[in-house]
Amino acid sequence: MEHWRRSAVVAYWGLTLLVLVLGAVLVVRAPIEPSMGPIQKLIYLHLPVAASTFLAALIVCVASVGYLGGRRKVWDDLAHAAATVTVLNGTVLLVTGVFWAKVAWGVWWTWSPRLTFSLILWMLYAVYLVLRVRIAPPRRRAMITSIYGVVAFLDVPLLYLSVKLLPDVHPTESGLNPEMHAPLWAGFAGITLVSIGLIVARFALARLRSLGWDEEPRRAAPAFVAGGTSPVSSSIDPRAR
Amino acid sequence: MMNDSTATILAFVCGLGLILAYALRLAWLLWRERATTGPPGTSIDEPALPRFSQPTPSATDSITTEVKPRGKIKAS
Repeated sequence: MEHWRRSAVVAYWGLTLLVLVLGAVLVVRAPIEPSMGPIQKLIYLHLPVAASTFLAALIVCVASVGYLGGRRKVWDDLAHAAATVTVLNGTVLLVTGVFWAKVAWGVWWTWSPRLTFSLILWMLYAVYLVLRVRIAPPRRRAMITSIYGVVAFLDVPLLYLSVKLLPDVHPTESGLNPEMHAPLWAGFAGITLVSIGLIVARFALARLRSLGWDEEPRRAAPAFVAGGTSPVSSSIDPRAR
Repeated sequence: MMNDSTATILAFVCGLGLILAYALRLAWLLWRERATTGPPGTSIDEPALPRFSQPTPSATDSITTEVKPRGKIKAS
């Protein structure tokens, strides 16, 4: 079993690396857009990272709903893993965005609706991670962050609709010619594979640490030997399964 | 003033560098966690422990080795 797991991990990351290298080659070979110049190539990273940020935020939302429905720690761990990757991708999205803004618009930052909602999205999930550190009791932490994770996701449709409904300097269409489609799709594939891989790895780390309530009977010292209360009381909670 | 090519390269390096740095950190944490808290008997830091601990000798002693004198002890 362990052998198969290791083989699957190696195969997954090998495929991811292959797609990333292919994407890099395609980006280098892609034609330079005449009106914007080389900075236009940033779209091959910026757009896939934006999509992966939304995907990770969606996973946080779904996992949070899952936790609220069943109170299983596995959902809480998944939401935590996805929130971490949401912040990571959001950071890359903002960093690549400011370089784009500097070259295209002459300023590092402008308070356009899409940029503002992007920053809010990043801050929402950064606060999610801070909340997890600040709230010590595991059940209370999971409950509060699950509610927060569902509410925070509301920023994603706002971010999407802001471009459609409000005037914005941010481009709404990529305007790519057919030769630019291949590097963009390779970018989507590579960044999506990396994001899913990182979420799974972070999730695996959380399960390994297993400091939550449903692992207490397995990992905690036997309290009945030391003269304390029986640990059975925490293991029969059906919601913790 | 930064030219277009420099900005593009810097943005790619910063963006992909952040992802790579996080991936490496995660790989390191996973490796360390597996090494220290793997399945019982596979850890390099701690010996395998029984799944259900038996009462310790001291606890057993406190229950079973207590001897009460029978009858009266005559004072000589």
